Amino acid sequence: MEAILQIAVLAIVPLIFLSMAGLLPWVSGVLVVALEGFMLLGAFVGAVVSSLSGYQSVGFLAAIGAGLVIGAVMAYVMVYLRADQVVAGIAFNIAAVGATSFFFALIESHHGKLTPVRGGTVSVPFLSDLPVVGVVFSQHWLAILAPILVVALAFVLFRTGVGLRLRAVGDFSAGAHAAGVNVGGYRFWATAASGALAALGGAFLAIVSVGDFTENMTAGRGYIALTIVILGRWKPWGAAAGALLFAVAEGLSVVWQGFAGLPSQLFLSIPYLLTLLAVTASARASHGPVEEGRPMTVWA
Amino acid sequence: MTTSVPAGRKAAWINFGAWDKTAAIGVLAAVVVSLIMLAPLLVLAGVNVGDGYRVLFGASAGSSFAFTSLLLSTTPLLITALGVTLAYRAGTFNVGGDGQIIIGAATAVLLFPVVDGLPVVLGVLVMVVAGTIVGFLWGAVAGLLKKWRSVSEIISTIMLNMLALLVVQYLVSGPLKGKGLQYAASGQAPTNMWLGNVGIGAVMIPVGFVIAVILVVLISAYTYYSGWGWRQRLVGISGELAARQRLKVTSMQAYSLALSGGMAGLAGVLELLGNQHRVGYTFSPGWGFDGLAIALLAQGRFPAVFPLALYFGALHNGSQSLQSELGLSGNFVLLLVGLPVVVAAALIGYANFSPRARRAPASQTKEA
Repeated sequence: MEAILQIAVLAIVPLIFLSMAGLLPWVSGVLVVALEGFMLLGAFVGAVVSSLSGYQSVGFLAAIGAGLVIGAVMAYVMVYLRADQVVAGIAFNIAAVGATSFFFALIESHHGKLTPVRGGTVSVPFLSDLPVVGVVFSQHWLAILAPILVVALAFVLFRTGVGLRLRAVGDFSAGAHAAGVNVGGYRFWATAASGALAALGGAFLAIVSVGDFTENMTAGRGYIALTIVILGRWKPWGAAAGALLFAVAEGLSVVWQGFAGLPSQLFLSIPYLLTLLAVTASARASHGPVEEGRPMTVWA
Repeated sequence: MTTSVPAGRKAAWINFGAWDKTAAIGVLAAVVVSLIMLAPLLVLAGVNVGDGYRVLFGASAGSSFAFTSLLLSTTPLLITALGVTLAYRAGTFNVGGDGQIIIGAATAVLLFPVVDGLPVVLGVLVMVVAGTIVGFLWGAVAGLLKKWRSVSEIISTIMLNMLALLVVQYLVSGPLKGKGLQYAASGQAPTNMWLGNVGIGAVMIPVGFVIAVILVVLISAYTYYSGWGWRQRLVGISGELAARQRLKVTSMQAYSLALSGGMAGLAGVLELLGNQHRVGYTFSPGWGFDGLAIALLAQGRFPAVFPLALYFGALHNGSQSLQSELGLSGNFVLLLVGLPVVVAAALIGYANFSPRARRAPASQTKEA
């Protein structure tokens, strides 16, 4: 049980960062299929920088910075140059696999095996002493930041003017434009921030969850996060609940491996089967922001 | 249903899709962006830039052996890209090429004991048909989920990729593992069923490539000269318009995705019989993604698919030489494949929505 919880926590934190990264620009009408690539990039930068600098936090900061820059580039391409968001996103993901594997092999050939700095575990007083669930409260400090991020995003999106304008941009950009909202600006910054958040999730995966960078290590988590956003009906709380479901599935798939002599692949396939199931169950009933994936039609 | 030649476009005797500005942007972006990007990558890797280019493209030119290896590298790419293009014409993105390729090839491996005693031609045919059918079904899952539940095929095909890979991992590390192998891979295809080369003078052309070229012609003809193809294109151009014509839009799209999967499955079997002869984890070095990149760069225009597949085939072919001769990770090809698509998407987006395009009538901005 504790093992399942431990794995689930390590799995849920990247998924939360990632699904929030998917949610934020999606609400404004930008479909970031590029999530997978942002995450892989963050994993790469985080692993490399934390190994070379010797400081874990420097690795996280570098990942955020790199995610912000690349996110801004992709935002410019998708928002202002009006590239097809799905096409640009998928292609970016392909390029990210190539770039990160190439440069990681290159850097390792110069510096030898890279090992990201581990540690950073924080224990919440009292709660971490609880039996069984105590393990949840003795985690990396970013894991404790993740629920705060969900609350913050929920507050910003549904309780502030910025959130209202962001959602208006995604549902009715012409109206928002007429009301004086800078449609492109909102979409651009939401997408750039998405790059930073997804990269942070990737860095957590590489530095804390796995402790290494491997080729294409995100293994479809970006797409799983998109499913989680759909499953959560484009709301931070819903997405967090979806992420929890997937994290538990991942925990089970690891813990159950080898159960009754069944092939391990059967258990490893659980998250992917669950994604298919979840997206099948929820796809038709829900619809996202009205202008999702469409190029911007206002000119300002 | 009668079709008329759009005004302002010359009626050609045979028309395999327009070679227009968009197709040219795609091909140019692929070649120019990847060639320019390669130089700094080589410098970073500490390789002499001239040597790098020479090794990369020398692998595909200069001798008849090099030419044959180029065609061999191009074959799975070309067939997968054709399939993905077909799906793209119906307005769907088949991201699941890799899964369909490997599951198609694994199907053929499963049939090794069955076909062993059969006459060669029949045995090959059985494997090819079975692999194609399983690829078709693997694609149909995504298609039907899209039709019944409006599930985005981007998500479902990625998940199906993962599942196919896990199925194959299980098979080749367990029940289908080749005897006496140190690594996880299937047994070898019966040697008499390997696909060889067709000799034209001194030039040896792989059988798989011949099939691929025939498919290019067939699929183009299907798309432009059959009712099915015409309706499929109509669905891709405008789902709304197609629906007004009482076409079953989602059924057409499901069918296209399945067909696309069948093509990828076929590519897998041909690669198995023509080149690798066994299936391992890394059977497909990302041809599914490359095929998608080609379809996107070509924007569904078949005349552009062929040169793009040859070019990416050359990159793949050369990357193996770069790996063995200069010690570079072969994965950089994915960077050379992916980034041009981002650039082309940006260029096409800008061309379609630039201030000049906004003033032009809407009909001129989107060409079938």
